[in-house]
Amino acid sequence: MTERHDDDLAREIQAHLELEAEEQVASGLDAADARLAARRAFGSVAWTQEQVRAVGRWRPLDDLRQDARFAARTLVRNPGFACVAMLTLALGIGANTAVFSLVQTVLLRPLPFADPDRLVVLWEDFTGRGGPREVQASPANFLDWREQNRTFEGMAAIDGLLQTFNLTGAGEPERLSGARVTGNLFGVLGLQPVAGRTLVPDDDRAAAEPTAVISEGLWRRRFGADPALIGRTIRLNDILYTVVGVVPGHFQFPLRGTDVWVPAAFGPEQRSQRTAFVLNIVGRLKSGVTTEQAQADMDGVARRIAEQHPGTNARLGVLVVPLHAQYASPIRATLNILLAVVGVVLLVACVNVAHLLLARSSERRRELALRGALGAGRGRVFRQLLTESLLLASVGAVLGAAFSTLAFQSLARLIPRAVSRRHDAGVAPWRVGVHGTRRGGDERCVRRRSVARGFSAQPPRHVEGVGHQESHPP
Amino acid sequence: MPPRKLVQGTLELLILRTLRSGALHGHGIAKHIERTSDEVLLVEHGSLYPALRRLEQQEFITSKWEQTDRGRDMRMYRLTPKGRRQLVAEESRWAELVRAMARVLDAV
Repeated sequence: MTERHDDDLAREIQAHLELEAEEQVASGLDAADARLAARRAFGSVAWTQEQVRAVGRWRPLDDLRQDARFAARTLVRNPGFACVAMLTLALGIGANTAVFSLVQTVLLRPLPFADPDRLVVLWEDFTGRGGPREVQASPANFLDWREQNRTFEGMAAIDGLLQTFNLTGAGEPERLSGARVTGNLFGVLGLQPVAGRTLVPDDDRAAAEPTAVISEGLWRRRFGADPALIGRTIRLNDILYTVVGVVPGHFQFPLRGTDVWVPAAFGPEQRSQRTAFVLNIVGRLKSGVTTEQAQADMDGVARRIAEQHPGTNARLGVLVVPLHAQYASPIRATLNILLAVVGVVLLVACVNVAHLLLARSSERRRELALRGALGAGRGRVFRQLLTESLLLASVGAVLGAAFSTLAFQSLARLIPRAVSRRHDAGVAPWRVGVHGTRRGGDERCVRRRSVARGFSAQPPRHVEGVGHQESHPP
Repeated sequence: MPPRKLVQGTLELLILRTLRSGALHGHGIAKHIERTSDEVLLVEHGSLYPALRRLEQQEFITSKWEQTDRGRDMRMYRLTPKGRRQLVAEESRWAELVRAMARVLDAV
C-alpha cells in the first residue's frame, strides 16, 4: 500500500483545483472567479486533508490526543485563569481527600486481627446505679463473666494501668511501658507473632516462670531483631523474664508505645477483688453469635452475679460493644460533620470553576465559530471543551493530592488522644482518584503512601477507647 | 430535483463503478459521477479523497502519479482484481436494497 505524505495529497489537491479552474475558465469565467468556483466545488481543503489523514486510524484516540495538546496550549496561553481554576480545584479536592482518608482510617479500616467482627469489648455498666455506662471490670467479675457466659469463645483481660518496666542488664537501662494481660489475650484477638510465640494460658499460672512478649519495635531497636533472643531472659524490674515471642509492630494494645506484655497471673487475693475496677475486657464471640445475643447472655450473667453478691453487684450490668465501634465513637460525629463541610467546600470549588469557564466562553465565541467553519461538528467542539476541563481537573487533582498530604498532617494533630495518629500517616491513594472522578476527570493519582493509625486509651478509670496501632511495611 | 448528499458507503460504490472502464484521477471521477447522474448526485470534490484513500487501504484500487496527455501530472486510480470483485458484490447488494425499498414503498 502506498504511503502517502501530506504534501503528496496537497499536490494532488492542488492539481485537482487547477484542473477544475481550467474547466471553469473554459465555460466563461475569468481566472479569479474560476479559482473561487473551483474551491467552492471542492469544499473545505483543510477538512479533506484531515479526513484523509484520519483514514485507518482510530479516530477517538487521535482526536483525544489532538484535543489534549490543544487544551494544554489554551491553558498556557491563559495562565491567570488556569492558575485560579486549578488552585480552586486543588483546594476542594485536597481538603476532601484529607478528610476522606482520615475517615477511612478511623472508621472504615478493618482491625488487624483474625475475624475482627467477632471481637467485642465488655464494660461494667453502672447506669443502674446512676453511674457511667462504660467502666472497667473487676477481676472477680471478669472471672465470673468468663465462666458463666454461653456466647463467647474466649474472654481476656488487660490491666488498665500500664506498668513501667525498667529494662536493665542489657546495655543502657531503659524505661518501657508494659501491660499485664491474661494468658489468652493473644488467642482471643487472633494475633500472630512475628517471632517465637505469643503468651498462652499456661504462662498465666501463678506458679509459672515469668514470661514476656515484646513488641517488634523494641526487638528491632534494642536487640537488633536477633532471633536468638527468643528463649533468652531479660531483666525487667529486677525480675528475669523469658522472652517467648515478638508481636507485630502494629499491635499497640492498650496504649501506643506498649513494648512488653507479661502474664497478669492473678493471685487468689486478686481473684476475689470485686470492687477494684481496673481491667479492660476483650472477648471473641462464638461463630454466628450476634452482639445482641451476647448482650442478652451477659445481662443474664450480670443478674446472676448480682443475686449472688448483692452487696457489690446489685444493679450492676454488663455492656457489650463491638471492638471497631468502640474506639471510633467519640470522634464519629465530628468526622461526619467535617466530611459534610469539606463536601460543601468541594461543591463550592466546582461551582466557582464552572463560573470561570462560563465567563471565558463568551470570550471564546469567535474561536468556536472558527472551529465550526473549519468543519468541526458540534460534538467535536464539545469534546474539545470537555478535554480542557478534564485537563484542568487532572492538574487540580495532582495539586490536590499534594495539598491533602499537608492537610492530613494538620488534621491528624487536631485529633484528640482518644483516637490519635502516628507521624508517618499518609494519604490513601485511591481517595484522590475518587475526587478526580467527581470533578469529571478520570485522573487517578497513584501514590504508594502508607497509612498508619494509632489509638490511645485515656488514662485510668474510664477507658473510652481500646488502643491498637497499625503500620504498613515500608 | 435538488442535488442530494451522498451517504458514505454509496460514494465508494460509485467510485468503484466509475473506475470500471479505466483509470481516472480524482477530478475526473468527480466529474464523471456528476455528469452521468445528470447532476443529481453532486459530490463535494473534497469528499472523494478520504473515500479514495479508504478504498486504497482496502486494496480495491491502486494509484500512481502519471502524466496526462495534456502534460499535467495527476494521480491516477485503477481498479484491482479484488476491487472488481468488490464492485460486483456491492452492485448486487445495492440492487437488493433498491428492490426491498421498492417493495416496502409499494406496499399498501
